[in-house]
Amino acid sequence: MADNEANNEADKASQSEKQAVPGSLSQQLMRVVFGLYCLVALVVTSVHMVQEYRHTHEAVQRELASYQQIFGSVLTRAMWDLDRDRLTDIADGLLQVPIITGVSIDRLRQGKAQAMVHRGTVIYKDEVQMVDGAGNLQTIGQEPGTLLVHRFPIVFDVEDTQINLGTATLYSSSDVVFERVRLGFTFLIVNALIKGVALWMIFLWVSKRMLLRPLARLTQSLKKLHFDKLEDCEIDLDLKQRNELSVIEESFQKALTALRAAYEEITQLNTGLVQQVEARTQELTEAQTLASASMQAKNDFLGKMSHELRTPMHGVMGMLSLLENEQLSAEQFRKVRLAKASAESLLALINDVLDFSRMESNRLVLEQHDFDLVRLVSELSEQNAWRAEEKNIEVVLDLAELNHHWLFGDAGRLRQILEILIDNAIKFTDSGHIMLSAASRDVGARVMLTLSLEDTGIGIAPLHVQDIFSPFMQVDAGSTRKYGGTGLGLSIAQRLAQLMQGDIQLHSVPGKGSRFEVCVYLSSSKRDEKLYSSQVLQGRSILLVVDRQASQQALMRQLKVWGAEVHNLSTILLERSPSERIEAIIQGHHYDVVLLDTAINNCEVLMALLKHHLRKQNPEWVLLQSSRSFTVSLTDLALDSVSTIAKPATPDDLFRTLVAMGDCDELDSEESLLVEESLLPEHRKIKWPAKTRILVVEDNVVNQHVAKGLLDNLGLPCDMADDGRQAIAQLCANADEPYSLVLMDCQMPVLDGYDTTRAIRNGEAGEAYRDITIVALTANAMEGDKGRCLDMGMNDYLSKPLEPDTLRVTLERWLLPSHVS
Amino acid sequence: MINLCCPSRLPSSCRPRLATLALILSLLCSGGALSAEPIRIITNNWSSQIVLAHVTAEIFRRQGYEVRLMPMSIDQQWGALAYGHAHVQVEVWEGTMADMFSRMLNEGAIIDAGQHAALTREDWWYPAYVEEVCPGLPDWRALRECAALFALPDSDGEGVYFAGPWEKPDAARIRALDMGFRIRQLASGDELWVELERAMQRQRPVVLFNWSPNWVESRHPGSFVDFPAYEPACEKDPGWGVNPTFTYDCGNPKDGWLKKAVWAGMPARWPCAYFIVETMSLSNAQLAVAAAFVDVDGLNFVRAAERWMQDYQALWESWVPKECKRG
Repeated sequence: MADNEANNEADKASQSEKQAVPGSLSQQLMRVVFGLYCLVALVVTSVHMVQEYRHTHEAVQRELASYQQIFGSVLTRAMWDLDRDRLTDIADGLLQVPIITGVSIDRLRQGKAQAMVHRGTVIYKDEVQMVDGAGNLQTIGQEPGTLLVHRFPIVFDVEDTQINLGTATLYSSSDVVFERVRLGFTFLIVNALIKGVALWMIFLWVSKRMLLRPLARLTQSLKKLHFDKLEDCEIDLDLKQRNELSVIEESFQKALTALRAAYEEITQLNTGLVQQVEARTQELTEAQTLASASMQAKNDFLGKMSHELRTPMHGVMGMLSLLENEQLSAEQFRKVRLAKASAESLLALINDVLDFSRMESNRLVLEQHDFDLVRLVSELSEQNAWRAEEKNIEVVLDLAELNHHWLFGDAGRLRQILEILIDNAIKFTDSGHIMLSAASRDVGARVMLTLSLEDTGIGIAPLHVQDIFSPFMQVDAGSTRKYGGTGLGLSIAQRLAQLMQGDIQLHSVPGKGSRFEVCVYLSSSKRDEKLYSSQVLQGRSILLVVDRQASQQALMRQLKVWGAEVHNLSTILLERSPSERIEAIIQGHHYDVVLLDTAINNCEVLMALLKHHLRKQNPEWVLLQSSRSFTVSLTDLALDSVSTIAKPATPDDLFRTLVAMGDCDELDSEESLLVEESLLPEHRKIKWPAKTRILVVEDNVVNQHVAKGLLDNLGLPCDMADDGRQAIAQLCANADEPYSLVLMDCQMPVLDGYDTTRAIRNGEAGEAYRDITIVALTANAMEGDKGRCLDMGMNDYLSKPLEPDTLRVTLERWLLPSHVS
Repeated sequence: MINLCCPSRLPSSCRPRLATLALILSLLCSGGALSAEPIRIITNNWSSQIVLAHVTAEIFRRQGYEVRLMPMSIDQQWGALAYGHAHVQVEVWEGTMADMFSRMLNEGAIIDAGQHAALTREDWWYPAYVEEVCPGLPDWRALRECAALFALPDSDGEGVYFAGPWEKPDAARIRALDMGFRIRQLASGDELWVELERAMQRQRPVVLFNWSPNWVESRHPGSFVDFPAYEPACEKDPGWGVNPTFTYDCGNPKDGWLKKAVWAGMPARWPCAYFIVETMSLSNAQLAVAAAFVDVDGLNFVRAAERWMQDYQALWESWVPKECKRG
């Protein structure tokens, strides 16, 4: 068994060696050693070959010289005897010597060399020439340098005198040298190759035996090294001798032993840790489950509360709205309005709590749609003016710097921000004014909208400025007692502004007032129509008689934007007597319009004076009247041309009034349209399509009455169904005179609104109703309700309690042909 | 221009000599006649040549030239003449030196300085008493028949031919004519005469290398062997002659010329000396006398030359042109 295991190990090691990847130690070693050897062998062989060539060259040279010794005497004798035949024989004999390729024998005559014999390849007249059989020389174009030359004098000794007879020249060729060394070179190269191969094989064998095999075993052992199987890890390099590898082996064994011990320790620690983590995880999981359940319970509670609170509020407010429109005594009307205001406050409180809850759970998502900003702020200022004037606070609207009529964003949330701020301002201001101003400008692809609300209220100390936006915070307990409120409003407003990539800044001076500056980023609307013709009042002169500075400044800015020439009488009023003042003002001026605030002191006297002084000019009269009560009787004035504008003067009011007074021909068609639209009564009678009929599906009887009352006010006939099943039955029964729209409560007994909608879409109420408009009507104001309604096939969503205007707008959207398209 | 020796009636062969003389005169007039460098005259190893070389040297000296005699073999002399190491050879025998003389002449290394009046022959020679024991001589076939008479104790019955130190085709001739002789090469001409004296004293038949002109013919009667007459084809064509198989089945040329040769630069360097050499001409007898003074009378070469100059003063003085004679 042991032998088998050993063999297996050896096989594995061998396989590892075979699997040696490029770049392994063995290949690197072989490359380096063999490469260096080849380099050295190449250099040494080259040097050897060069030396061999030089040696052979010299040997050939020496050999040539040796033939001087051999043939010298006979050559001398033949030369002495001028025996050409013999010289020729000698030359021919020399040519038989393999290394001699040419012979020249020259006789020295009168100090000059005279050719006697030429044989073979010789240098003659500095050119390499070949002697043919007839003894003729022929140039062969070979370089003289390629020939090896041995020239020696032919000297004859006679009576101790040496006579120089001439010279003999023996030629050889570098080809002879190459021929001679070729064999040597071949042997040399073969020798180097044999040595190289032998070295390679020896090195391979030795390196495998002494280095690679142990390294492969070591690598194999290291590959098998797993921390969870340290017991199976062994190393045996099978070394016969002690060397560095055996030291590595020993070190590895020691490290392995230490590793096992450490692993044991770590394992134990890990086991303990795992148990602790599991226990903690269990606890956390339970806590998370509990928290999730709590959160779910909270959300469910909020949803339920929302529904449960809104449903009765829906009934209360609806009924109060209905009651308000009935014939009531003044006292009854006052009580109804107070009850409605209380209900609204309660509803606002509920809404605040719900909104704050949504924000806390990051579930509040902004809607995105086009909205009319001018209309939004105008309505807001108008709606709040009545309440403000109760406290003798003037509401001023300043849109002179607003450059965008329409915007794309969440109008409801923007309205909510402003409502909170306005409500706050009215609450904390006892006299003076509240000025709502708006400005906008393009910032890249977005529109930066700045809404500023300035009041002349109690102000906030710098110490409390940072805390004013914290939830449930008011400046002090006294304020809470005096002004009421939950302290959520500003916090909600700021968070909404932040959701619109903006914020709210507060600038306040205690005792003088505050200014909340809301900056939000919205998108421009594709419907962004031209606000107003900027120079529509060009050339018209307006006499402004407004004594309140905020209102006066706002009016002047707006009128100047439209190009009017504006003079303010109120400033002058402070300096001179009325008659003089008026005369001074009128002197040299022609006024087309007199814009007069009827709230100024001695309004009637002033108006009489003005009328007197301006009788020749016959200007148009525009009176700014309080929305609560008219202080001036128009009939008493006996003016030819007079118009009134309820304060606050919105741009729409000013525009339509002033332009209507002027030359309408100057208006372009678009402006005419604007004027025409703006001149329509606010509560106009809507002309619904013929045979329009609504089916209200509502289980709550009060809410049924509210809905019916609201629809009656809008001039829309309706029928009631107590649940979904009744609704389907009624739809089926009225196939001949079909309903135009269904207002569907969501939570109902028998068959709720969702299943009813699914059944209608499935054709269970008849094919004619498969695509009928279904508007959800639910008290579920929590986020996600609308999405669910739409997912179930409903077309729109209305949150209870129903607001008359919201209902109207929604019905207009779905029932009027122009809206539907 | 002075007409020195060759009037217009002289034969055409004299014209080159006139041209030479004109050259001499022009050079003399330019003041370059004499030179401190000695005129080196070759002396060989036979008496007539040595004596004549001394005579020439003495004549040159009397003309004011520095002269040096250079003993030299005939093998070395051609290179010496060609490369200017030696300047004058007074005897060029056709029989032994014609090839080299011709080669050097063709190479332009030497100048043919004219021919002696003497005619030469080099060949096998025997004393007159030999004809008594070998009838039919001087025909070569008689000699072949009685070759055994010329045998010596160590010649294994073959006849012995005593040859000089000069290269001759004797072996080829013996083989081609099947002469039954072997050659005994002697180191010098003197040894030839020793062998001749020894044989004559005993009246022993002897055949040896001899030449003419030589003192021998003036003192000892005898004859050259008549081999088949020489033709150049004999040396080259085996089919030629009595033996169709071998060359040299003929004797040496008869009546060969005897010439003088000088270094090619001599006329320019030493014009008078060249003219003297060119003019020099001896007959066979005059040459034989010169050799006899040494070989027979036992005079040394200097004395022999003096003796000869005394005996032939008019002759040698005629070789010296007036323009070259010193005061």
